[in-house]
This record gives sequence, C-alpha cells and structure tokens, in this order.
Amino acid sequence: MLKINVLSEEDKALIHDKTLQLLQKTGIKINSRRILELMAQHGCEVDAQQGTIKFPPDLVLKALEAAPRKFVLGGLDPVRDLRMGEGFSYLSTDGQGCYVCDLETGRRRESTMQDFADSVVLCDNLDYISLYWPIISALDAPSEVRTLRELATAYRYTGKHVQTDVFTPQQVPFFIELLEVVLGDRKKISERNIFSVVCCPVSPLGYDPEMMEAALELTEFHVPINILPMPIAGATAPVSLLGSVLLNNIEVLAALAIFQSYRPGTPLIYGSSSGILDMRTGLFAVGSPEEGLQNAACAEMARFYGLPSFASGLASDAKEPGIQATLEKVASGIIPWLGGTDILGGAGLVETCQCLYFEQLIIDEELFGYINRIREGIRGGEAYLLDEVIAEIGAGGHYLSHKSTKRLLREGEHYIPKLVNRESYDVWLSSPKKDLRLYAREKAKQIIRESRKEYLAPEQQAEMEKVMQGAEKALCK
Amino acid sequence: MFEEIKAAILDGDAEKTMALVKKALEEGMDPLEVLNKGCIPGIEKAGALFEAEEFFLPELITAGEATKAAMELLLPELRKKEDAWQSAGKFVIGTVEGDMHDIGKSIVASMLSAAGFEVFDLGIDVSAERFVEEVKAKQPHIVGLSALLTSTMPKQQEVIEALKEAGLRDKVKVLVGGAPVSSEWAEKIGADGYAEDAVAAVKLAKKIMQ
Repeated sequence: MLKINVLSEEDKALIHDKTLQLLQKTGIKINSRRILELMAQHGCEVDAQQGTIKFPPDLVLKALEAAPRKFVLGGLDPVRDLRMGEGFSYLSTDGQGCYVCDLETGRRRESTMQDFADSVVLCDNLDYISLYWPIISALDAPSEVRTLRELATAYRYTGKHVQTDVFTPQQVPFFIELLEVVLGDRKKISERNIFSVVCCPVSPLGYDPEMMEAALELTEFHVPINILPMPIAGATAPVSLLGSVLLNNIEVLAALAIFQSYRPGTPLIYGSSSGILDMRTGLFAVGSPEEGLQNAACAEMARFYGLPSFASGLASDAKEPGIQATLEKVASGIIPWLGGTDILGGAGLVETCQCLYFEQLIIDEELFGYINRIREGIRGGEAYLLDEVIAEIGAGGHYLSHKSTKRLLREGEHYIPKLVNRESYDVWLSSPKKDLRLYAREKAKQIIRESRKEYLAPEQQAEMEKVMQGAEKALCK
Repeated sequence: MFEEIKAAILDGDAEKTMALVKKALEEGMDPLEVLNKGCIPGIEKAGALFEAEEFFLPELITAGEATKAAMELLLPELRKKEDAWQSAGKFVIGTVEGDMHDIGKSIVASMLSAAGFEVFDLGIDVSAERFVEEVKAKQPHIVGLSALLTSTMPKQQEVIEALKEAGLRDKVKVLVGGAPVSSEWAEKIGADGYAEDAVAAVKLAKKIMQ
C-alpha cells in the first residue's frame, strides 16, 4: 500500500502542542447556555456573556483518550457496513449541493426531492461509493423537515450508510422515531449506527449552537458525529497551509472535548473540508493543489490521534464535467487518499460543491478507481516478481497465455477501467464511448431507470410518512 | 462429456481439454459431435464473454489454445470418418517482411484454428514471394497479412501487388491487421478487409466464407 506523509513528525507535534495552548488561551465561541454550563461543570473557563469556552489541556487529553478508535458505520444492508479504524478506507459522496443538471433538458436548476431520490438510486448502484451523504438538497421540501424527509428517501433506496445534518435539537425526536421505523426496534439505533451526523464548526473557532445541541442529544443513541470544519486559508483561516491545518485541528478537538465530556465513548470522526480563498475572485476555491495537501494533513493529524478521518477531496470549481473538473478532482482527491484518510468525500458535485451532474458520479467512480489502484501500489515479494515465469517463457514468445497472467489479472493486478476508452481509432469512431460524458450520462440514466431497489416495506413507508407529518405539524411555522 | 469439454476450454486448460477429447474418441464418440457440441460452444462462449467485457484477453487466448489443441486431435479423425467434412475455410497467415512481431498474428491464427479454420501460419518476416508461393500451393480462401510497424505497413501493399502480378488476386481474399493498420489503410491498398482484434478477425473471416 502506497502511503504518503505531508507533515513532518515535528510539525505534527507542534500542531498538537499549539492546539492545546490555543484551546486554553484563546478558546472557542458558542452561543449555547447549555453547552457553556456543561463545560463549566467540567472545569473549563467559561465566559457566559461572551459565549467563550477555554479548555484546560488535561480535559482535552482525557477527551482524546475517551474517543473510540474503532466503530462501525452501519448500512441498512449489513454487507454495506463500514468498519472505522480497522485499516479500511471508503469513498463518500459530496454533500448538500443545491443545484442539479437536469438529465433530460441538460439545464441547471434547483434540486428537488425527485432528483434526490434519483441520486440515491444511482449511488446505491455504484460499487466504490460506500457512504451516502445527501449529495443535493430537496429544496421543494419544507426547510424545517427537509433533512428528515431526505433521510427517509435515502433509506428507501439504499442499503448503504447515510450521513446527514440535524439542524436543531427540536428535530432530534423525529429522527429517532424515523430510525425506529426503519430498524423496527429502538434499541437497534445505537447497535447498528445506520445514521451519522455532520457537525460543522463556523470558522474561525465558532460553532452553531443549535447544531451542536442537536448532536449532543443524539449521543444518547450512540450516533457517530463527523466534526467537519471548513476553514478557508486566507479568509477564515491563516493563509498558510500549516496554519489552516492547525485551525482545523483546534476546531475538531474543541468539539471532541465537548462531546466526550458530555458522553465519553461517543463515536467521532475527525473531518476536514479545508480549502483556500481564490485571491482574484474572492470566492472559496476547491479542487486546488493546496486543498489536497490541507485535507491530507488533517487526515494525518487524525491518525496521529488514532481517530477515524473524513477528508474532502474530488472537489472542483468547474461549472460542468470536463477538463477542469477532472484536473481538480484528481489533484484534490489523490493526496488525501494516498495520505490514508478513512473516508474520502466529494464524489458527484462540481461548481464548488454546489451542483450535481449525475454523469459526474459515473466519472468520479472511474477517477477513484484510478487513484485507488495507485494507492494499492506495487505488490512486492517473490509471488509478484515472477522470475520463474521469465525463465520459463525465455526470449521471444509471450506471457498472455501463462497461468500467472490470468490469475493475477483476476486478483486485480491491473485496474480494468469501466469508463475510459482504450479502443483503436477505428473502433472509437463508432463507439458508444466516443464522447465519455454523453456515455456516462446515458449510463446514469439507465441505472436510475432500471436499477431502482426498494429497501423498505410499504407499511414502513406509511409509518415514516406519519412521523414526517407529525414533524411538519410540530416544527413548521 | 460435452459440458466438461466446454468447461475445460472456458478454463483455458489445454491439457484437460485434450485428455477429455482423447477419452471421447476412445469411447467411440463421433468427432463431429465432439466438435459441434463441446469445442465450438466452448470457444463461442469465451468469445461472447470477451465481447461482454467479462473475459480478459489472456482468458480468451487460453480458451483458443485449448480449442486449437482439441482440433489437432479431432482433425485427423474428422478427415477419416466424415467424407463430407470441411473446415470453416483455409487461411494463410503471416507477418510481413522486415517485421518480427509474432504475438498478435499468432493469437489471430490460434483463434481461427479454434473457430474451425484450417490455418497455415507462415511465421514472421515473410516475403511477398513467399506469400505468393504459399497461396499458389495451399489455395487458401483467405490470406492474412500482419504488420505492427508503420515502417512495414507498406509491405502489405507489396504482397497485394505481387498477388496481382501472379494472377492470384481474384482467387483469394486479403485481410490486413496490426496496431497501426486501419480500415482506411486497408481500403487504400486494396485489401478486402481489416479487423482490429482476434475476435473481429474471426467474425470477418466467417462472414467472408458465407
């Protein structure tokens, strides 16, 4: 396995030391009485007026010890379980886009629940995608229950693990009710972990009080939390890559200290969705070479602490699939993947993580196949040296019909592309793969049309609808 | 027995295929049946799997080699027993003069044999005169010219011209192949066809024989 380090041991130690110092001296800000009181009880220096929390280093170190190294992110289909901390790595979709390129008209428009359902069906059928993070928002659903309705649709069409957002503590009981219907048993919620939440700090050093309180509530059910800072180097983080990694580290460890103080043993994922500001347009830039390095460095810090990691990558500022998208997605994806992140996010979206092209999911699968084969590296040892075969074949002749050729091909010695075209010019001229983007789009259409699987019984769906209507009554203004 | 032969061919296991065919013949089975119910379905299935992108090239080739091995046992029996039996066609094949590339041409030869053609493989670095002599002597239905290098491609044209001069051009179909070769080139030099790989070559040869 090919593995790269982007941080030196000295820099990692330095980041760790400075994180503890800054958490103690500068601290973080959160406008939540509940969390301020909680952390005051645990010995933090709290300023209730300013909403600041300063953490004693011992508390942070204790919290780091309490966080589990291993846990499962379950799928509704147990075959799809993701085993965190056991040396496996997985690909996730990108999350929370708000536009979609219509498969029929080819026009970009706001995404709907129908698009959402289609994206779930497609992702359920793609081999490499292991985790479904709502890749687009169902903007036609009421905002107070949007992610709840999305989650219900996600479980209907995929057996893979689903990660989403819970925005307020008032939403939590409805999520739990929904999960109970899906699993048929309240106890199974904490046993199976079929659901995890994203918790995004507001860089620099701020936190959304309602999102944090909602996550706190969910710890009762052992729901894994992906702490996912999104610092922008030069704008909401220091301009240096190392400085932005330090800020990312501080933001993760502060949230980790809060969750572990409240409920030790809560499964957490060390996330990073760092990037840079484009200094000519003043816009958030993703898919930059810097982004790849930043997120690989964060994954490395996660490993430094023995925590499972989620790193954004495969990101792009391109407005549609094509040259720029491919270039940026490879640049931002390959470094965190080689850097050993447990989960790589980003499949499917372009336009700075805002717009879904269904064909991009097909393209990203192939792109991931390439970088994943690179990460598998050159398998070493006599079994792969095949010196005896060289002796056997001798000069002239060929290796095509040798047993070792067939065997190792089946073991994946060569990556067999699904999308790219390696045919001769003559064949290419009339190949369905002549225009790869069109081919990928047709493939996506075909999967959505023909491979829709239902994971829930009609009775469960009716029950879920009741839960959602209850939530609408209670939460919608 | 037929299913076993088919499976051995799909496995690319030439030894096992030969052992099974031998056994079948010893037990007095009709060689034509062994061919049509065991070997042909096996190699056809391998070709279909290759086209469906389920088989890799080495799996197709070893299936071809297993079939070719079986054919070597079956052909003498077929000739003995079945008076009316005819091969799928006679095929002379070789790599043109100045070109030492053997693999692609051998794969095509092997797949043609597996498909029931009587193949005369002239090897590599074959001169135009030699092609003319062999066409005269063997009277094949088709002659296949392989060239891997852009520098040896013009030799394909020379062979065609030599066949014309010898008055043999209208007696034999000429197919060309090789990495730099294209259907455009085939047309330009007056060949009868071009195939991009071994599977396409077999299909084209069968079509010509119809």
